[in-house]
Amino acid sequence: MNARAMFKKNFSVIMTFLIAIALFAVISVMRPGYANVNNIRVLCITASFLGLTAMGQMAAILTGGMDLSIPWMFTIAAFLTASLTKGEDGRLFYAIPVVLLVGVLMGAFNGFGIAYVGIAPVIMTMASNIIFQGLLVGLTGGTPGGTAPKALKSFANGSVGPVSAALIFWIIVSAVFYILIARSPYGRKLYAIGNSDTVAIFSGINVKLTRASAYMICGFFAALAGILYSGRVSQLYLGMGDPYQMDSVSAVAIGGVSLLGGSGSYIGVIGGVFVLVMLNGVLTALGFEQSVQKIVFGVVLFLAVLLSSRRQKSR
Amino acid sequence: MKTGKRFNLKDFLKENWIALIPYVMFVIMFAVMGVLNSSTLTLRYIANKMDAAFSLILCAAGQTLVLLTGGFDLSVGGVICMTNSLSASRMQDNLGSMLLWALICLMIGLGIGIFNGYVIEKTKLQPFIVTLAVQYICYGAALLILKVDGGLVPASYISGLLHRFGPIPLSMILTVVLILAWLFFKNTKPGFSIYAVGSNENAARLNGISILRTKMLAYGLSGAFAALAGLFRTAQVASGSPTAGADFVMISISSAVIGGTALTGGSGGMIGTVVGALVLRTISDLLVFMKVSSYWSSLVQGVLLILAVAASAYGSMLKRRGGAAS
Amino acid sequence: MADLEMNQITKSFGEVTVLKDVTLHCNRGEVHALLGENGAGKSTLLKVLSGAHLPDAGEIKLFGKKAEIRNPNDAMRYGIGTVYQELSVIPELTVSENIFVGRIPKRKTGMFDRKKLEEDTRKLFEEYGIDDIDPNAKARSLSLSQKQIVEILKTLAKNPEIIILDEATSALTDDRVVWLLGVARKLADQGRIVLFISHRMAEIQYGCDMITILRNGENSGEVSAKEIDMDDVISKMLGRKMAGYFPEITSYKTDDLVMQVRNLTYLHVLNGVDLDVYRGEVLGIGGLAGQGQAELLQALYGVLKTKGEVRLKGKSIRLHSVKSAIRNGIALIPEERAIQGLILRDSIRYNISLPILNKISNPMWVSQKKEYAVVDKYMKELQIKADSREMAAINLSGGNQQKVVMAKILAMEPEVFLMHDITRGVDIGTKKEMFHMVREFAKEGHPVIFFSTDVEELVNVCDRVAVMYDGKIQADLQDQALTRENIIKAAIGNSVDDETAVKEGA
Repeated sequence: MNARAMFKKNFSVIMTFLIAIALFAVISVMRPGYANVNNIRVLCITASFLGLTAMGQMAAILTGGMDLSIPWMFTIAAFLTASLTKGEDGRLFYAIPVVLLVGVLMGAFNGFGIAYVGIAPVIMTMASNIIFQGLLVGLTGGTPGGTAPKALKSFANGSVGPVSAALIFWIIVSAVFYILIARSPYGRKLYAIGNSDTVAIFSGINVKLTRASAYMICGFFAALAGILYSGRVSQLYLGMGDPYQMDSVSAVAIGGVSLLGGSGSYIGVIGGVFVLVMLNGVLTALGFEQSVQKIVFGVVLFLAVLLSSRRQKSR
Repeated sequence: MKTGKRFNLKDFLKENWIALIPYVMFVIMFAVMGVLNSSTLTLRYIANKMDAAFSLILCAAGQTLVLLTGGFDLSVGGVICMTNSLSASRMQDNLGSMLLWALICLMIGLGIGIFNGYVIEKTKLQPFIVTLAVQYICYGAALLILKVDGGLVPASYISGLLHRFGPIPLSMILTVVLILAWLFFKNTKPGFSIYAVGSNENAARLNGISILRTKMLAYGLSGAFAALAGLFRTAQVASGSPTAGADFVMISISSAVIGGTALTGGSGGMIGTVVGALVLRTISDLLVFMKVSSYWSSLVQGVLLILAVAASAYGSMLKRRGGAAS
Repeated sequence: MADLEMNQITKSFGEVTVLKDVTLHCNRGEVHALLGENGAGKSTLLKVLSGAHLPDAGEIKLFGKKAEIRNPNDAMRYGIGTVYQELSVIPELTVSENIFVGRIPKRKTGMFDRKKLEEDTRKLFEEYGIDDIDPNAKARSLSLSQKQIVEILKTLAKNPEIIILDEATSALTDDRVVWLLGVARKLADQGRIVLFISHRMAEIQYGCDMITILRNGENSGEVSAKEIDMDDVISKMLGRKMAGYFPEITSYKTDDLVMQVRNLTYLHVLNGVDLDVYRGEVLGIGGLAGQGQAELLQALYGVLKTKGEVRLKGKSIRLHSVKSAIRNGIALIPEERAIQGLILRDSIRYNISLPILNKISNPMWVSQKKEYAVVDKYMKELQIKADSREMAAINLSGGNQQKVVMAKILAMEPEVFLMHDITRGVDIGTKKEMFHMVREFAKEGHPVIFFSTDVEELVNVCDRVAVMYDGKIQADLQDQALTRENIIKAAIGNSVDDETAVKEGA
């Protein structure tokens, strides 16, 4: 394949990264001192959390759906980690698998409603999001508490050399996820059902199970991000997952994944994650007011999605 | 009905049981509340409840139009933030100023909505992502208008909109007007086009219906209704908030869906939505009456939503099977 | 000079020329049929007339005046009404709303005049003798045939001078086909022009006056329907003698009973199908549209939940999902290659390997080497013409798309082949290749169940033909009994009284 064909084929991915780089350039030029190791590390940690949730969101969106219940799966995972470990490192070895399993089960609840009962994904996950919220708040009487073990805290905030541990963790998980989505039979099936349920059925794919499994994956990653996040913050709080609801969708959309399902690459989503994180970085670095930040955010989100989706349409 | 067929209750129920779900829910809820706590269930309570629910009713009514075209409008929250902030902070205590700002708010909502519809049809981007972006912009704009919750709402504005005609609040009358207007609108060409576009866009185009104009109309009305919701909220809360609208996004969609409007477009309507909004706004009271901790209210809302949608998903599956057989 | 003239119409899509200097002349009072194979250009020609396609060259004259038809609205203004092949009924609207969509009578207030609408609908129903459709029913509750009637009425309600019926009968029930032919005659007698596309010769012979025959996008002749010579018409359609087009049939049929179907039922569509399939035979499935043929194939492929028994090599099997059918070595080439067979925007490679992903994978990922090997093998074997295996299916011609579907099925290495009208929209050259391939499968010892809507194909490709009627096997024809006449006879529900007709529907 020659360079031009390569460029054409990966237009949206390249576009996404170009936007991210441009945003970074904006910070560097406007605030010369900003692009230091420390700030970059913070950006990378932020990107890692968004990246983990965006992976799950991508799995759901590839099937032509969406998962709006990430926030409270995330929050439940964080609180559950704290309460299972009671802050002791020694309990992590069983707490983490249990929390991940809970995440998968919450995802399975979504998947069941969507794939087997036939509820529209947006409605199902919107409803399950407030159900999960109700469960957590109701069961704990509105005041869940606890703190994450030290080991988790040092991992989430720590670094290996100059690189943050969270970023390394995200990269490793990304590699596995990339193989799953882009190289494995399972990934191909996800794309196939996103493109056409009918063709997938006629090709012998268990469409319902595959669709449900995408939400289980999403639950898994939301829980994984939640576990890690419980170590990142000094104090757990309700609503800590809220930003990830729309940000994960935005990252996936900016990354060139069609919200109709069936097309887009994970590499693009990584780019989308960086676009969002850089954008937030720029907006805070330049010291804009909240109001201007939001307006610029909306405009850039719209333009980025427009740019990254142009290639797909012309096909 | 003129075809000579006699009205048959059994057939009617068989055909329409799904559409009746929100009404049944509504009646059961009030029955339970009445039994549990008949002293609270007074006319005054209902009037207050009506006022409290009216913003949602307006917002959800607009949302319904968009859902009927098979789209989404996440920007309603942003529009409510803007109009609520604007009216609470700029209105003077004279009729001219009130009307002027109300008109400005309405135009803002309408304009944003028309923009949504135009962009969605022209770029073919997903409504979800377009209205999400617009929502952020509106949130930002609302913060420019009003930094923190507050504002000074003219007393006559409040008393005017919360006026009671005997025991009947203005909001209840307006709801009836809304329903009547809907029944009229449904039977006009624009209303008809909204159903047609949502039901089968391609077929609508083949039949000479303008998709662009229809979508601009639906989103435009949705924006306008959101603006009205913001305006009413100003009176009801007697204050403005640049973040007030965020809560309305999901719950307006929920109201429409519980009321029987399908996300796939083309089926449903505003009357169900009004009932859906009332159901959602009374759940927390019901829990209080049942002496259940209000912490559970979001859980109950979620379960209710899923049950309502699952029933209609089940119903449409039955219908598909039936359709395949004939 | 004719009342309607389409002169030297040329139209191409990309590099494929679909119409080349095609001329069509008709007069008032005429029911004029267009005849030709799939892909001969009939629909494209009429779409030029209805404004759906702009011709590259040529002119249209209406009643002596040149007509500029650039879009469907222009066509409507010229009084050209089209009954669309793809249904444009809007499911959530009522029947009468659908019929008058865009022109519903209004009161002064802008509100619809329901009374007038009802009145207009009633008049229309009376005029055309419709009594089995409730004008106030939602369109989605109608049967396919009723939807088609609504579609036809919608066009008629506009009072067009020229009425285009593009395969309008394919979805109709038999009595409604007769009804439509009657309507067409009535319209013609009122001095209008009816243009008619159908694949059913009987309808054309019975209902039409003139026939224009197209072949590969060119005029191939015009004949009067009254003095029709079948052989002549067929040779004009095909453009060559029948010999060589269809394969020589050498029977490879054995006594080895591979598949037994007993009392298969599905809703009201399959009413107890019994079928025996032997190794090495091509078993044709025939019948008029909608007699359960499609459902039978889908049932055997595990798509539909049916009752009844299917035995494969003596063992009873459960076909509860496509996966289970594939596991049992049953594969289907589906009816709609663009909807059921291929993901159009994906590459040839992705499409072919979709059902066999697990087979060509290392534990974790799809082995590129294995995948390329399989894809290349079948692309070569089926002579798929494409730049590379990465070419998107949407950019292939119809024939090549169908070949990709076949490659996909072959890659599954099935035991039993189910084929649903595999030559639809496929050019003649590819058709010929496919018929030979089908015979080749039989030679290799596979049973092939070959459903075709084309009687010629059934007679010339199959060893045996089971004709379906009303969800049952009406006749089982082979050897001397396997004739066009017998197939058609059984298809319309008559029994075939020949001792070689083995079985009749119970």
